[in-house]
Amino acid sequence: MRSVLNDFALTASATNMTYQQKLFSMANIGERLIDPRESLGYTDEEMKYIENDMICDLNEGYLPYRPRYIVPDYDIFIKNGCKFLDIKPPIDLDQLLDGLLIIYGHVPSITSFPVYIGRLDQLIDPFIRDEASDYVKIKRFLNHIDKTIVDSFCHGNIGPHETRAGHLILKAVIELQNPTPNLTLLYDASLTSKDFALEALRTCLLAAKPSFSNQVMYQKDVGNHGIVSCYNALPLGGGAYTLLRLRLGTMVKKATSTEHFIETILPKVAHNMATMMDKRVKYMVEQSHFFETSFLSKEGFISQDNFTAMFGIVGLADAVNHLLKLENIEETFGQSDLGDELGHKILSTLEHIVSQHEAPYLQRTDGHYLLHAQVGADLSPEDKDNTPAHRIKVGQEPILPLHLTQSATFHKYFKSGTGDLFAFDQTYLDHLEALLDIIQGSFSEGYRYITTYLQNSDLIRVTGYLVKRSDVERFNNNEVVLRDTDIFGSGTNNNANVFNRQTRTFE
Amino acid sequence: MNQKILVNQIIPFSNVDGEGNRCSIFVQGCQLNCLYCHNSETIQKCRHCGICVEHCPSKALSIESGLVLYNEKSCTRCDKCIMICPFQSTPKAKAYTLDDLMVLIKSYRPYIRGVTLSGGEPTLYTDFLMGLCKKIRSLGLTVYIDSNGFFDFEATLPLINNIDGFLLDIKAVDNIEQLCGVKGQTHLINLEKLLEIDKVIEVRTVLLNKHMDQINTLNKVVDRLKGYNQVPYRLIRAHVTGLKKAQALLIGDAIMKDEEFLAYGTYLSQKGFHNFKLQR
Repeated sequence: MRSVLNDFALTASATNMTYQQKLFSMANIGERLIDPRESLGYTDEEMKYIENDMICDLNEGYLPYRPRYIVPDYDIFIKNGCKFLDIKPPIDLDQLLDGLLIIYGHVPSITSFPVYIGRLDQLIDPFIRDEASDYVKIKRFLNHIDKTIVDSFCHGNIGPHETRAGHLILKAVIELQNPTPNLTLLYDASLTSKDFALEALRTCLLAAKPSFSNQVMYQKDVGNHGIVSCYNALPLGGGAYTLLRLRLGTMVKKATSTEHFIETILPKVAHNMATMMDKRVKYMVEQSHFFETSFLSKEGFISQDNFTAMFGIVGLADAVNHLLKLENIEETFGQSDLGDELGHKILSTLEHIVSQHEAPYLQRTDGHYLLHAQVGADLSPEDKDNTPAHRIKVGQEPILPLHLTQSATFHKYFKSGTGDLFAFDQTYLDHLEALLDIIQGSFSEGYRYITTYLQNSDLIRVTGYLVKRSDVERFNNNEVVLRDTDIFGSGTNNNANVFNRQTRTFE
Repeated sequence: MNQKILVNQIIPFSNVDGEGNRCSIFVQGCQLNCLYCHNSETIQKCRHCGICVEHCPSKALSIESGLVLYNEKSCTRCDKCIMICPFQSTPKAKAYTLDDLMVLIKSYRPYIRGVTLSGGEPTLYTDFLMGLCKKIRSLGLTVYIDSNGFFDFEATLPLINNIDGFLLDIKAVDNIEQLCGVKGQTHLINLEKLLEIDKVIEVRTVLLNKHMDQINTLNKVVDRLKGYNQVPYRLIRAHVTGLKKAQALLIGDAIMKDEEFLAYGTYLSQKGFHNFKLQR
């Protein structure tokens, strides 16, 4: 969506933003003052879909000069150091952690904070000498990230193999209780030891991370990858140029029948989104000179060949609920066989459309955009009518086993990421094996990504990222808070009531 | 195959009825009547007296042709019916055929390690459950039975042969009649027999003062567990939370203090028995 000049004044005088938040917000407003019809060659038709909220460009701006998500291969630093930053290859843990923190500061993204900080345990483990003193350093490193990368989309990975470093990271995560960095265990039952998996689960209940990703499935669909930002699976040494999303819950309001929606509205709007994405990618590669100028690509941390782009959706539940209503069926998505059928019809149609569209500069994913189950945002009043991704509306969820099975069938479409989250009660802390059964079961049913937390914890997953309940409350009281994601969390909770997800208890 | 079993409730995911995530099926009916029973509404079958019907605030209960009918959809799960029932029963128990149960179990299957039959007393339904257990195990799931130990071993053998093991209660020894209203030592004999054929997953004793012979019970169990190091002994502290008023009045003063309860763990350690769990 385009900005207006007055947005600058509103930002400058805001009482609930830090200096840094204002700075980045000002930059973003600037990027959106430009008319994309001039800068990117958007057509009037494409523009219409942004203006009527059917397509959301997540305020990416209209002179895209850096990829949205960058997934650097940090092994390059271990091997070669970094010439541009004049750092030698690390020879001990201090040099490693210091060097990583320096590099993180130079990894761009749509928010200007790095969304991927590496497979931390693999990077750190070879440098472990003395666990007691190394633990202090690891904990300090993680805390430094939380206080300087003030954006919970910043994501680290661990696993699949158990390492000493992996255990030390989990221990620090529990002690720190920080929202950042987000953390994911790349889980592969044949490679991840049970002890490590159980320790990760305990950590997840106590500190709302790490989440579990289905390493086998993602490796097959995306190849070597990192889990970044919320739960996006993107090629390692590359990333995603851009992410736009269809607001299915908004599009459906114009439908007169299921047929009209699926055969007319959906293809038309999807096509316009794909062509807009093409224009963004082309500008980035051909005109922004990002890949020729960034030290990341010059020194091999990334390669333009490894970039893809994400074709997002939100509001599947709302779209299906609307179609059910049109057909006079008193059921809701999540507890309706017909609703599931409609959901699959919508997504398989979309999958087909996206697979037919030839996109530029997308060798890594065979010239096609990857579907993405976007977790939602609060950028327009329409976002109230667009439940995250393919999730069931809070309050309309079936019992846990049925919820898992229902949602599992939708994960297959979203190669660049989807995930579900479940709040559990305290008793699971004493019965981690039971929780591991649930996670393994979900993966066997087709889950890509699952995360858990205790309902009563202060750290809470909004949609894919973490916030502190207490920070959101402070923001709601018009106080300044450290992280931009605390602000997003407030908006999303007001829309989707995510702080009150059903608690899963055995009684 | 139209035989049905009366089920008090089904918990799709339970983490406290054996290892891992399990589906727990609570059958209706028990021949014992333990003072501290936490689900005493599973003891008797509904007599259709209708007392609960008038107390249901959401009108989920009605009486038709002399039978109490339960409408699950209108029920708010306030449990007033259970509290008011003078016969240790519930109007909410539901009859299931074997196929009904298998449909549910199959839908939970990816996420569970097995099924635990609890109650009530599952061994009262040997014939029906034997068929069910066969089918459950053919899915690659384990079956445990949570039992009070009072059953005819020979008659129950067909069921025993089709399950993976027992979560067996030894509620008391000398005081068993006062505590549970049952005579004899069948439970101890059954424990011995089940141990011999490797069908004990866990032995459990709920501890409270006054109404049971605590040390004697612990000694008798530990003696029998000698040589079976893989079988844990779980001690559970009795609580009054969730009990009916009359029950709470009866045993309220017999509830152990935390340190009293923990002392039994120390006692077992001192005896040289270490494979026990304390559930406070």
